[in-house]
Amino acid sequence: MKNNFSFSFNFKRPISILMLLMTSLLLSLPARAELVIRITGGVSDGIPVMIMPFEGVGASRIIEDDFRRSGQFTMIDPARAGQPLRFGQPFQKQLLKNSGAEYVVVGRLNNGLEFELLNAATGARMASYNVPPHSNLRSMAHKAADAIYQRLTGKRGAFDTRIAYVSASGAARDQTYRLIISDADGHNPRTVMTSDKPVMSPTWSPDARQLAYVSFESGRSAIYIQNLLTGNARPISNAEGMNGAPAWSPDGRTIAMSLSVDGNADIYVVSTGGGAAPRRITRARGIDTEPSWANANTLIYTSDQGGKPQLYRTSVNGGDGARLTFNGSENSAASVIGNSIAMVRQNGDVSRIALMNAASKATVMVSRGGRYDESPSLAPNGAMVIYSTEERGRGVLAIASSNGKASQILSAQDGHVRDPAWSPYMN
Amino acid sequence: MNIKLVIGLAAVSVVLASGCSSKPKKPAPGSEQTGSLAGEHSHGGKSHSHNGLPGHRHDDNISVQQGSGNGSGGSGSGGGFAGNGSGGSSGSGQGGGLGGSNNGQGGFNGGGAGAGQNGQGGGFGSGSGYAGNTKSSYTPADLRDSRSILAQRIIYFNYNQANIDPQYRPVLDAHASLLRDFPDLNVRLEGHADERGSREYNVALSERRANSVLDYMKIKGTKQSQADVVGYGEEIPATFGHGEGTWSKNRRVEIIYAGE
Repeated sequence: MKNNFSFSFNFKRPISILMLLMTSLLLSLPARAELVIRITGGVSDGIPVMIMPFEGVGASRIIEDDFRRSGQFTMIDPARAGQPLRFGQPFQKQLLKNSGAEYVVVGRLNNGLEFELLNAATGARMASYNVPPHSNLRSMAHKAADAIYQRLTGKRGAFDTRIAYVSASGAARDQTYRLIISDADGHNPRTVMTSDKPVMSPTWSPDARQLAYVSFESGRSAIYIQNLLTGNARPISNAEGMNGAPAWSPDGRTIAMSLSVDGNADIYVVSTGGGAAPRRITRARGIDTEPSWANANTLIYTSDQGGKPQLYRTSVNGGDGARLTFNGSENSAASVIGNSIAMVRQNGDVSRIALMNAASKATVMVSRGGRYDESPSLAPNGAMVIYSTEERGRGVLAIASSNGKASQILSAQDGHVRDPAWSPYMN
Repeated sequence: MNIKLVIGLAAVSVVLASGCSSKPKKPAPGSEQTGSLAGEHSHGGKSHSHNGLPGHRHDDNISVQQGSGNGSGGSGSGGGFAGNGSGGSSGSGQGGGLGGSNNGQGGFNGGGAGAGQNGQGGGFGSGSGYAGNTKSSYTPADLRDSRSILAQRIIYFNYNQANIDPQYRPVLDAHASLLRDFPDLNVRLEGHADERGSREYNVALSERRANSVLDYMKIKGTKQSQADVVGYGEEIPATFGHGEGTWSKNRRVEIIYAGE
C-alpha cells in the first residue's frame, strides 16, 4: 500500500486572548463528577528519569504521573539522588551518577515554573525551561512534562491537552446523559451539556475551541457544534434519518459524518460554515460510518459492505474505499494520527483496542484484558490512546500507551463514562 | 455549571417527548435466550391464546431496575420484562440479574386453551411467536386492551441482523392493519442494538432495524407519513448487563403510538 498518511497537525498558532479567557473560565467552574484515577501499570524498561520534588509546589507529582502514563519512562525514586537537589545549585555528580537515573529534573515555582534537565551520567545541565505563570498549576506542570518529554523522546508532548467524554447515569431506560470535558488526565471536569436523551460521539475542532457531537435532544439524531467559551450550540446537520459520527477536518472547515438521508448510512462532508449541501463521499449499499481524517484528503471509516464491519479508506473527493483491515472478525471506529490507526477489534464477543501501522500493517493490541473496549481516540502525538472499557459492570475510561506497556483507568464516582475524544494540541 | 441546551429545531416531528425513556409498561417478550419466546407463555402457537403480559407486574420489575441505579454491577436485570411465566399466575420470573427481587410473575396467562396450566413454556411451536387476540380489523381502542395482540409493541432481532423474524409478522400485521384503517394514527419506530460493535455503527444498525419494520408495515398498508424512524444504537438499553440474555432484550424495535 502506498504510504500517504504523512500528516501532521499544524495548529501552532499563538495562544490568543480568547484561549486564555476560555481557560480561566474553565478553571473557575466548580469541578463536578471528578474522575477517579488509577494507574494500573508501570514500566521497568523505559528511560530512567528522576523528578525531584519542586520547591514550593507539588508539580513533580503531576509530571511523574504524566510520564508514567506514557509508558516510555521508568520513574526513579528521588531519594536515590543521595542529596537534596535545588534548581540552579551545584550538586555532587558522583552521587547522581549512581542513582540509577539517566536524567534528572529539578525545578521550583518562581512566579512561573522553572526547571532544568540534568544528565545524571555526566552531571551536565542539558536544558532549562520556564513555564510562564498560569492560574492553573496542573496546566503548568503538564506543560513542563511536555517540554521534558519532547527533549527526551524527540516527539511533541501531549500532556497539556483535554478530553471530551460522555457520562450516563440512572436506570437503563431513564438515564441522564452528560457531555463533559476535562484535562487529559481526568482532572478539572466541566459539564458542557446535559440531556435526558442520548449524547454521543464528541469531536474537537482543530483549535480545540469547539466541540461537535450527536444529540437526540430533539427526539431524533442531529449534529451540533458548541462553542466551549460561550456555551452556544447550533445544529450543523439535521437531515432526515440518521446524523451520526462527526469528525472535524484538520483544516477546521468541514465535518465528515454519516447520514442516512439517501437511504442507508453513507459518509458525507458538511461545511462548518453552513450553506452548501452535504457532499456525499460513499455510495456502498452497506452501512458506512465513523469517518476519521487520516489527512486533509483521506478518510478512514467503518463499512459493512463486505458483510461485517471493517475499516476502509477513501479519498475525500468521493468513492467507495479500499478495505484496510483483514484480521479480527470485525474492525471499526478508527482514530488516526499520522501512520497510527487505533480501532476496535472484535473477535467473537470480545472487543479490544488495536493499534495498526498504516504502512507496515503491524498491529499491537494495546488494551489489556477487557472484553468491552471501544471508542478509541489517539492523543495528538499518537503516543497514547484513550478508550472506553468496563470495570465491575461500570463504564470507565482507560488510557494506554501506544507501546501497550502502561495503562490508567479513569472512573466516575457515579454512573458510566464512555465515548472519549482526545483534543488536539491546545496551542 | 451545566449549560443546558435547548435548541429549537424546525423539524421536530417528535410525537412523544418521553420517547422511550420512561415507558415501563411497554410489553416485552421473554428473552431470545430461551428460544425466542419460549417459556414466556405456553400457547402452542394458538392465535387466540392470551398474551403473557404481566401487566402491573412489569412495573414492579421495572422499579427494581431503577432501584439498582446506574446499573451497578454487570448484572443487569435479566428478568425485568421476561416473566418466564410458567403459565397461570404463579409462574416465577427467570432472569438472574438482580436475584430474587426479579421473581416477577411470569405473564399471567389466564386463558389460552388451558395451556397456562402446563407450566413449561413450550416455545411457540408452529405458530407465531406472539399470543394475543387477533381480529380481522382493529380500532384505536384495542391499543388499550392488554389482551390484544396490539399490546405487543417490541420486535426483537438477531445479532447484527435487521431482518424481521417471521414469528413477529402477526404482530406487525395487526399494527399495520390498524394504521391502514386509521390514517390519522402515527407511530414512532425506535430501533436499538446490543452493546457489541461500535457505538455509531450500532446507531446505523438500529436505524436499519426500524426501517426494516417500517418497510414491512408499508407493504401491509401503513403510510410512510405515519411513521417516524429513529435509531438509538446501544445508547438506551432495555436492560444493563452482558451475555445473550441481556443482549437479546436490547436488540429491538419499539413501536410507540403518538399520544401514548
